[in-house]
Amino acid sequence: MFLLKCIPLVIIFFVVPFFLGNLLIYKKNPYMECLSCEKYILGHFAALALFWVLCVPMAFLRTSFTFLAIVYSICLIFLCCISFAICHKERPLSKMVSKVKRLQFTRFEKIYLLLFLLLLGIQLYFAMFYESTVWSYDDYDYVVRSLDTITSDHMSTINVISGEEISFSFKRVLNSWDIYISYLSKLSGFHVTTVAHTIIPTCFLLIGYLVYTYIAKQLFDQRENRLIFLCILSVAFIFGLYSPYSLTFRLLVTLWQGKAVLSSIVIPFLIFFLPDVYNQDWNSRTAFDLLIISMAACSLTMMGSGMSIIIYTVMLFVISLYRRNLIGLRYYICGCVIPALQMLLYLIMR
Amino acid sequence: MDILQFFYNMTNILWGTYGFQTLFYFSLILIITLEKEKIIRARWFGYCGCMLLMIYNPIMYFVFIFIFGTGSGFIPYYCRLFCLIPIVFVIAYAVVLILQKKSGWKKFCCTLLMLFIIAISGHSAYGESWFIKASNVNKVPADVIEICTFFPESASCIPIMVPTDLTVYMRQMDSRFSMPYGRNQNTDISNQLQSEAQNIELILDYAVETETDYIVSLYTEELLAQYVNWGCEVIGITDKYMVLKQHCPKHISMVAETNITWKNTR
Repeated sequence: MFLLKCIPLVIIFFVVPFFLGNLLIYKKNPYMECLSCEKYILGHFAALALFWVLCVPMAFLRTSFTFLAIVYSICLIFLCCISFAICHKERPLSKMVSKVKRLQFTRFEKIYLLLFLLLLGIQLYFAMFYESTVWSYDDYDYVVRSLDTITSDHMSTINVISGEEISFSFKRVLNSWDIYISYLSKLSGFHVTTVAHTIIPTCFLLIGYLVYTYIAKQLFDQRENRLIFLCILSVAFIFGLYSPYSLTFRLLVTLWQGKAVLSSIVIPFLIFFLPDVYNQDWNSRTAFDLLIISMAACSLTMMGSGMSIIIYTVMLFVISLYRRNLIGLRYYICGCVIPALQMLLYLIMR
Repeated sequence: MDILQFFYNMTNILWGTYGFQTLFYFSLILIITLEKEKIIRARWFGYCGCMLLMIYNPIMYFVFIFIFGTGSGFIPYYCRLFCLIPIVFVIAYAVVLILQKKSGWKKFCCTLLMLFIIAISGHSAYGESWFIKASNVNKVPADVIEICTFFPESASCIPIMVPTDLTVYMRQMDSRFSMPYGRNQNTDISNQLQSEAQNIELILDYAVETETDYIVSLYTEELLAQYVNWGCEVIGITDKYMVLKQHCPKHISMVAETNITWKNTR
């Protein structure tokens, strides 16, 4: 029964992003096909962005949560079928498997890889079997809302203390992370608290380290240096609890919260993805990728919009200052338009 | 609020200790010194420098006041801006810059030394007293799960008041619970329910006033006897807590008698 419940989650976390990622980079750039982790990460952000795009208008229109879940599932199935139909000739899975088989590690690369897997294993163990007994006050709001969404079949219209129906909570409606947890819970049959406190921290920890693997590939050419980078990163995370505002706290203690996923996964990816984007010539498909990342950031928490705009702006300033020329302005506009709209809506409606 | 005082307080709250702060700034200096490619130096130092300038900036301070106000959540919201600075990545990159000049066993030994330095400079979440092995997959106190089993599935709404330690968890497990107060409200009542010395009359009056049928209190033999003496019905007992039903004739008749006496006095 437990394994049956896990199947939908495995599909959502591992299969759907693979198909969506293939669809996003199909015939985009021959180089991009080699970066499997970037494909998967973009596919995952696309799934979050799609959920947000469907959830926000439906929440405003007061449609039921069940209707949203059905529509979202149908959209995912449809997109995965299109991806399979278009991309299966290129055999992306076979290419990935043969690439992995062709990998040859030197003695020291094996040692660093084992060390990294040990450190990752320690983090996964604590994510699965340990809990925080303090600093979980926000669950009072987030996890309760997720459960109320399933029980009442309404979105963002239940008082988290008394359980009574209330009028709208605009701040909550403009992001969809809580309702995404409700969707995962309804799909799998696991209780909302199990999904939030056990399943999401484990799965998103793996996704986080996939993002850090992508960052390592961006920074270093040699595999040995990439593996050392990941080992240093792991230890820095494990011993980096200098305050509750540190990335360690977000990644290792409260990763089921939208703001934690934003801080430890989306923002690091964006910081290391943007410089190459700004430096390249205009490509509408790359702009679409930026749009997806922005929407994924907006879906997680209200601060996602502000944080995205700040990163886009600062990175544009740094790159333009270095090149002594204002470059990447069209990419900047594409990346900022959705977060700016969300912020504007929030400021008008609060 | 004085802006400089605010930035000082915020920095202390954010960094806590000096270990990682020192590692971060030292790593930035290492990157400027050791990194040969100008564009990469510019990206690391330029981005981090611009972000720090943006955060420690009166304009950003006033923007935040406009959006969030100056309540108790102002500093926590402002501290979230620091997640825009890739602190851990700066440290890791600087360390690899040092190590990449070496090779073989020397490189491996230096890697282990660097890992040790980072470990002793920092502080682990896994060693904290509040980070404990979970007793269930839901990762809520076992008492909460047990309390949920005391109520039949047919009950559609369960008005209940709970001690401070359970306030956050009850509605996470069962949305039928309806509470008269949240985590920061009526702390007097919720703290009393958590303590061994309770003003039972005050608690029961509050329950009647808010039409709350069920009370969860810390369990001791003495408290149980006091509640039963006031006419409460015991629904269930867990390791630490007891669930009582306050809708009892003795309390209502006592309140009614008090009201009649008061009216007669007037």
